[in-house]
Amino acid sequence: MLFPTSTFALFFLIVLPLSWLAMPKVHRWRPVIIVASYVFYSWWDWRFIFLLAGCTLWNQLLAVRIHRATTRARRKALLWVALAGDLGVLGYFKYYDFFVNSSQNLAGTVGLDLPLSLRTIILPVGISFYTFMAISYVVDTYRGDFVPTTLEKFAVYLSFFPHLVAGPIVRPGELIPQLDVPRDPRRVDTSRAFYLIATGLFKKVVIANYLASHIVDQVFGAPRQHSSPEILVAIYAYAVQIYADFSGYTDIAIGIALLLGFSFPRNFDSPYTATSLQDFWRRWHMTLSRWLRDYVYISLGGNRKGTLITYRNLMLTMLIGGLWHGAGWTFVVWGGIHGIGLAVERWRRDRPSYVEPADTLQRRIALRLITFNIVCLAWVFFRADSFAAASDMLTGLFTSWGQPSPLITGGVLLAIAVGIASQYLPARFPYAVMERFGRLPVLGQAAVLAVALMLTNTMGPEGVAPFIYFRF
Amino acid sequence: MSSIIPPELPKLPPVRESAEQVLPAAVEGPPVEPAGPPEHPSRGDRGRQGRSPRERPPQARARTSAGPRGGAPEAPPSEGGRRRNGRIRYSDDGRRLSSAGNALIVAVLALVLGALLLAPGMHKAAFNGQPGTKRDVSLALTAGLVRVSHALLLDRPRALVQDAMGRQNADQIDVTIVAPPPPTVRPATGPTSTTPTRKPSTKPAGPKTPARIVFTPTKRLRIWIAGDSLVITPGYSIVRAAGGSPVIQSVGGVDGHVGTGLTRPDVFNWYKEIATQVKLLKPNVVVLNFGGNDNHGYMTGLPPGTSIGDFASPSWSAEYLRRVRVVMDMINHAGATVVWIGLPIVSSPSESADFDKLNAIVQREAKRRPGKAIFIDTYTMFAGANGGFTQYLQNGNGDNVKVRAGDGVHFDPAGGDMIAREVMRQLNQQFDLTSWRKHKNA
Repeated sequence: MLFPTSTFALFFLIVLPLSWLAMPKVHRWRPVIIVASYVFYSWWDWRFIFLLAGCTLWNQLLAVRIHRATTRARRKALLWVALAGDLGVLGYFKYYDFFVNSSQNLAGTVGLDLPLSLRTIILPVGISFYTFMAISYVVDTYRGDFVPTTLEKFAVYLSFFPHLVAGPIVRPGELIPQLDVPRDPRRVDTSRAFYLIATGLFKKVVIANYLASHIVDQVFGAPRQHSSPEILVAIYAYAVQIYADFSGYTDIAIGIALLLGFSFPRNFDSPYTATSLQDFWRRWHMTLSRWLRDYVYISLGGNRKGTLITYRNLMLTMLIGGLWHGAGWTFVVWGGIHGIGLAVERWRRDRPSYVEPADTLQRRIALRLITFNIVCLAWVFFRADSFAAASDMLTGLFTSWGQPSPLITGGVLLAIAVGIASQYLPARFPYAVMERFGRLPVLGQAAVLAVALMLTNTMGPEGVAPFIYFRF
Repeated sequence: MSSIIPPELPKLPPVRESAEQVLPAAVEGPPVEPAGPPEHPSRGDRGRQGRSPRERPPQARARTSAGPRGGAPEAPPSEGGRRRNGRIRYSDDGRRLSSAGNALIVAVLALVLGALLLAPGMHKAAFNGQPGTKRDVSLALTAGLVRVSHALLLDRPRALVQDAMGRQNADQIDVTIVAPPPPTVRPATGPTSTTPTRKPSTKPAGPKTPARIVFTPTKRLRIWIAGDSLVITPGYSIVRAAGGSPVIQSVGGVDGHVGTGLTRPDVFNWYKEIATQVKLLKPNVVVLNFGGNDNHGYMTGLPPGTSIGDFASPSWSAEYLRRVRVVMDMINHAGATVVWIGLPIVSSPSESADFDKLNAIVQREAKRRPGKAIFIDTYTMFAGANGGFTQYLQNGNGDNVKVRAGDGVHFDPAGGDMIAREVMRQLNQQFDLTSWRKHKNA
């Protein structure tokens, strides 16, 4: 069940009143929302609801045991058991074939034949997201940051449908306390919720889908058949496409949660205005990057064990982040580029002779351009099907100038410009829109939203393209 | 804890005004450790510097009063809102909050009004649905919506936007199957032939194999690729392969339309599309792939008075064969050769059985057109060692390569490359793509 479909609209129109009707007695609300979330999840493949239920039971059982354990050694052992279960399931569904295939091919180069067989495994949608949330729960319990809650509340936390399939990756401490007391039906932030849903739909349906179908898929599909300007514009277009696609999804998710009375953390903060890669990771997929920081980087030792170990930890964290996105070496390279970039930035800053230059407009513009282009370089590996395709894209940037570029149209350039310029809008603009929207009478609000819906549907390409992050 | 937090990895959302940073402090930021000020003040921050509190926008005032962002545990609107007067409640940044009832009313009204504004498109979408009760109900509902929308002139705004975007007939339901034009002889401007010049014949395609046509770097073989979603990945592989040959030119890219086929011209009218593109692009070869969405017992565009049975019944197969012939005739009569990529074996055994039946219809028709239609048997090409579905096949080096996508239906790029190699091999057999080298060397 994709958000921008009439099926989801109908589903939500049933769940919204049911949720608020059940809300005064929050212990009655929780089963309602669990059933709704499982129905939502079963729409893709009903068999995977057992996987979700199993993940819930496993982590709840282990978290409670960890909490009750009296010795540190036992707590640690239980934590490893929990992590082995979580990562084992994720590894089987997402990485089994990748590792078997890579191992077999590597062994084959030295004449070995590994007795491992490849399997046809269908990746359950959202598994990467809810597994990470489950790991947050047990690790926070282990660290003493969180006391395990009831099975029912944990089930809501893990399966709550707005975040279930593509995040944001919400921490236990952010959502579970909200499940303790009824949400106040008189204080719903509807103006922000509808703003996020409407702009999220526009970003996904119009900007992302338009760029995908008008330039990105064609150029990345056959780079050698396109001119250098087309390749350059396609790389920038993909940068905007993936931003519009993923931030559009999480905007809708946050908006839907707000209408149900719950708040989620933000996931994007104008990432293409970043002045460094460090800054970029504070703005891009923020809930994943803080997860990687808290549960991978810090667990590896962070910056406590000397400079070289810090660089190693940075690289490992980003490589794992790359692999999280997909079982492929191109994703690892994507993470590697960011890891190297972050390490270089840190090395530069840590030099004794380093003096922070004066902050000028020119310098900020230059830093933004450099950061954006490094991020775009990494996106080439993220989007390309293979190293050969990525190599074709990068070499094509220099070899085919002067050829006709029919794919560079006004529409494509406008979509890219809108996607980037929207990140430079001053905060008062969306504030003013929401503020005025909130003052409209009910009919006026409905009319504004209906027109936005009409424009999004009419301007977007036909059909509903899946969200990019669903396959992660 | 804070001493080991690396500056390289994200801390808090920086204190910065941006298009997305619009929630009050209590509601917005994730409850992580404070990160301190941003490296460089953003435009919003600079804008705030030097202003008196009174000059600040309401959200900035609210933030100041709410304390540092992100440090406090997340507070939902139910705890963060405040009352200014009467029953109206405001968020911390001064915006009006609403009630759940209002939210529901707004959502319902917006969807109803939106449905009226989008009525023609919704009616078309309902028409394009799979047959059954859901489609019948949707058609009845949207037909009523179309009438109301038209009466209230609410269909005008969508039409205006469509006009502005050059999509005037986007909501038109078109089920006509364009009959192919009468056979014509390839004009003299076409590629040269090594065989002695023959008198043009107006006879329709016969069983005789035509002579191999020569293509050269100056007279390149023009190839166009079209079909449903299954054609997209192999299509790009073929485009790439064409790019490696000096005598093959890809024209029109890959014309892939997801969820389409030959049974439902209302969803996408391929007959019209092929007629248009063949005329426009003048290809020598058209690579097609259809059928992935055709394994159901319902067709639109049936000739008047015709009815069909279930999928693969004799009447259904006869009508499908007629459509395949229409497509092949259209291309052959324009002087081009059809390369039809058959349907592959898929992870679902029942769907594989359906695809086998569809392949049989197309393969039979292709055999009737020697030299004018080539069928690529991907069903056996992609079968595993035991004859069943597999995601992995061994390449020439003996390495396992993932050739099928995770959905058990579509191709991965390596699978597309396999198909492209077979298409190129067939084209080399069918046409003379290499003799120009000999002439050049001589």
